[in-house]
Amino acid sequence: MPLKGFGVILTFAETIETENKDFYLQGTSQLPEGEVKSFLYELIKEKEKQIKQVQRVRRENVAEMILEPVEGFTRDRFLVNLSGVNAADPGAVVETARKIEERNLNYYREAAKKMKSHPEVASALQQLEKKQKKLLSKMDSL
Amino acid sequence: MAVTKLKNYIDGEWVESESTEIGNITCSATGEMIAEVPYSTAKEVDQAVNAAQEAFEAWRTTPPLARARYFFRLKDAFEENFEDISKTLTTELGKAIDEARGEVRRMIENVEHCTGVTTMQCGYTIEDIARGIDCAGHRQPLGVFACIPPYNFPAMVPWWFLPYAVVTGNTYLVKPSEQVPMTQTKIFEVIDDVGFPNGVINMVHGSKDVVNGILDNPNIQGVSFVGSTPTAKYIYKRCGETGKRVQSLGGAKNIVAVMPDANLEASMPSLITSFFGCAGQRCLSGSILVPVGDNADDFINKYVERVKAMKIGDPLNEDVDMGPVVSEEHKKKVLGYIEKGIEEGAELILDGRNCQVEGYPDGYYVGPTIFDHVTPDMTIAKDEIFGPVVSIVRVKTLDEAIELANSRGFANAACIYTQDGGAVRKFKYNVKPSMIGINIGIAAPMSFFPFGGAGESFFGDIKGHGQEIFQFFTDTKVLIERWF
Repeated sequence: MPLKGFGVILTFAETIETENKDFYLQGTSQLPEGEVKSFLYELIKEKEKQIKQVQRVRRENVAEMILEPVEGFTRDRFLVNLSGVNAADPGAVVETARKIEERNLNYYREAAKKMKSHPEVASALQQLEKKQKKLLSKMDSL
Repeated sequence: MAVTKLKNYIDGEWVESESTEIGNITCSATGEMIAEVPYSTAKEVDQAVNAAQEAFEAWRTTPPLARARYFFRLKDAFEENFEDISKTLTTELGKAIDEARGEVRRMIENVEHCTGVTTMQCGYTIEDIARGIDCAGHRQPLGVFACIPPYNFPAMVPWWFLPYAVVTGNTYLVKPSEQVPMTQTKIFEVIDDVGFPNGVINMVHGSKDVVNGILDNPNIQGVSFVGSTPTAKYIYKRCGETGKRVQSLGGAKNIVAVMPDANLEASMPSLITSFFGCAGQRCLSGSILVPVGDNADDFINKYVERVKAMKIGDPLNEDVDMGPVVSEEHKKKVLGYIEKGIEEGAELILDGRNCQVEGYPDGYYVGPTIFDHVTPDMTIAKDEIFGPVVSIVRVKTLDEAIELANSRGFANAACIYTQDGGAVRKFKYNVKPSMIGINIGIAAPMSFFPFGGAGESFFGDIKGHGQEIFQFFTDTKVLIERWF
């Protein structure tokens, strides 16, 4: 499926952030107390912030001039199948978390390139990419 | 979907109209009925104007910064309701959801711009215009103003005027388009939450009786209108007769010239959205595509191929490039123009007449349509079609393109695609339309620049938004003083 414009690019960002948040929520309901569960609470807060940021970028930067189509960008490469992941297993949860946050990082990196003719949007996407990097480096310390 | 009966908003209250005349509002994508709008009476207009008149004295004495603070709050409230307003707009009008979001953004930008009132409403003064005599000009509000907007931008257009009128101390009445009244109703729900003083902002739904009620009411100081040229002329004339200020924006027939040196790869996306954005229902839409030079075939072939790839469908789906037109009646009108084009001998190279969208058999869809070899005297090159129909008029020189732009009567916008600065200079200097796009297909001024055309596209002196609009809504009272 193509990501062919400003709105759908930002909405897909919202979709993947929400997907990640939902996965962490599932994890917090199934994991035993511990370091991983605490970290998931942190991630949920971060995802909520990022969802708001994505919505704000979509609201504040939309204009006729931005609605020109984007080419050569599809969502298929960014789809992750979360079914079958054991949300009660801390190891599996961390591994999946890394996978889906890396997915988001890649998405923001490529989306920023696709929106480079709209510097404010590209810059916001780069900021989100930076946040992803920080999250991933925190995961490394788990 | 539940069918709601819309109410008027008068003196800070939601009031059911006493009128028995009702219009049906349908979802453009499905044809399903979604609301009923009352065709209110002139008496209800008078009630709203009386409330606005009564609120005026207290509102004009409210300090400008305090008035601006209502708009700061309103901006925040609009941001919170952004998606809701956008989706309502898309549902009743049919423009793609991103386009609806873009419209709501533009509406909010006017709210942002108006909050500069403490600078923009400033008067001016000079000492010693004669020995010992000083002079000052104060910008004072006038009273009640009203707006009659079109259907194609139901969120934005009233907000080209309302924020500036109200922030400068006037009070206001909006008559939303009877074809798409739900969006403005949603917006007024937000206004109601923000809590402007009663009577400062009012809304009366309706049709001709409401328009005439506004034009006849002696307490209305000025009217802002956007719509078709015949109605714009009527409004302008009536306001002149009754001594009201008026800004009356009419129709358009915009040309988009493509020079042989245009960067086609970079230009193609905006050339497409220019003609097909909002299904062509924009007064800034490209309407006549004008390839300049002898070798237009290659460009036209590429253009048609790209247009064919557009996705037509449910406008709430973000993957969709173009949704339906506003109504069954309007669809028939657009189809009528396509028939007329064929009848008059234009070559139909892309036919959108039998556009079928799976799952939406009753939607008001017209597919992208392109005519080649259109001549300037054909109906489709003269009338405002307001649909996804491109008329290609081939010309040999830039002079011919300029002449074509200047011979339409309408003079709203004109665009040129080229890499040649000399051609741009000649084009922008000589075309009559007053909104010009250079390698831009929709020359839409933002809130801090004036919006409006020339010729048969605009009647009045001061256009929509921009810096000048603060003058439309204020009278400069001159004080000449000497003290002994």
